[in-house]
Amino acid sequence: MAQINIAEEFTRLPGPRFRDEGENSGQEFREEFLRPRFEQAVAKNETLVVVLDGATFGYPTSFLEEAFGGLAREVGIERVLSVVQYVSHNEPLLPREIETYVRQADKTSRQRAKAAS
Amino acid sequence: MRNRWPFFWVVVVAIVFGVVVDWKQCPLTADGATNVLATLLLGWWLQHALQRDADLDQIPLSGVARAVERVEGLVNDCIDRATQVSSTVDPQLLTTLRLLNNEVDWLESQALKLGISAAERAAIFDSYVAVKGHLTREKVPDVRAAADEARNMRTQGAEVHWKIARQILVKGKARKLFEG
Repeated sequence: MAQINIAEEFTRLPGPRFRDEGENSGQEFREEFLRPRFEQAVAKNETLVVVLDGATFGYPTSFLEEAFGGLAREVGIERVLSVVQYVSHNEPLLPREIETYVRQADKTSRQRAKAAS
Repeated sequence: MRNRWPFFWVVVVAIVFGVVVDWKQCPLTADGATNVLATLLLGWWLQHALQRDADLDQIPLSGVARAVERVEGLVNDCIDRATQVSSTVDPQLLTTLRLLNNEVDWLESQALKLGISAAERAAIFDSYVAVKGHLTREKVPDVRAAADEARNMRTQGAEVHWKIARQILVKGKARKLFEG
């Protein structure tokens, strides 16, 4: 079983969606930590557990959607749902919330593309 | 340990009632067997009503009501804070959303214990995710959309409260469910 502890390995202050919007963004977390660990877990046929506890204030939707929804857009919704699990004692609904963003990753992508155009 | 004294007094009252009715030979209950049956039925109904009241008194319905009020208060706090900030990673906003997360989870857990269906429970969670999304999804909060969804969330909170009360009335001895 592989594990990422966001507060210990990345930051206690999760930031905005994209790198150009500020420090500790969801994009940075996905590219530097989540995607590589996900690939390692898949190669070893393991579950990747993401520990969400320890953030000082909490996680904005922008960070979570870009990190986990973004991963689902890159590798596929079903693959993320089957490989990644979440642990959060401080915010019990956070795992369900993230799974919502993963399941809606395609829809969110279309909305963002439409907004950008 | 359940208090048996109400049942004792119901039996005493029922016996006295039966004796009085039989003694007066009321035309509607002229047959002695009918008197006994009517008395027992009345006694059972009184006992059932008293027991249900006793169960309701011991269930934390007031706690559920307070949780719904806290949800309403926290949603208002989130909206108020969002009007004062220019960033969606504001510490106070995120902390209040975290508190809201915990309150919604508590309400859902009580609803789950009482057997309220996942679909009925999901509405308030969906509203919470929508409010949080409007407040923290983009660079700046969308206060107007969040306020619209907040109204919906208050309604969902009231509905969860009502569904919990309904389940308690239907199930009667729901106190045991709360005790796990």
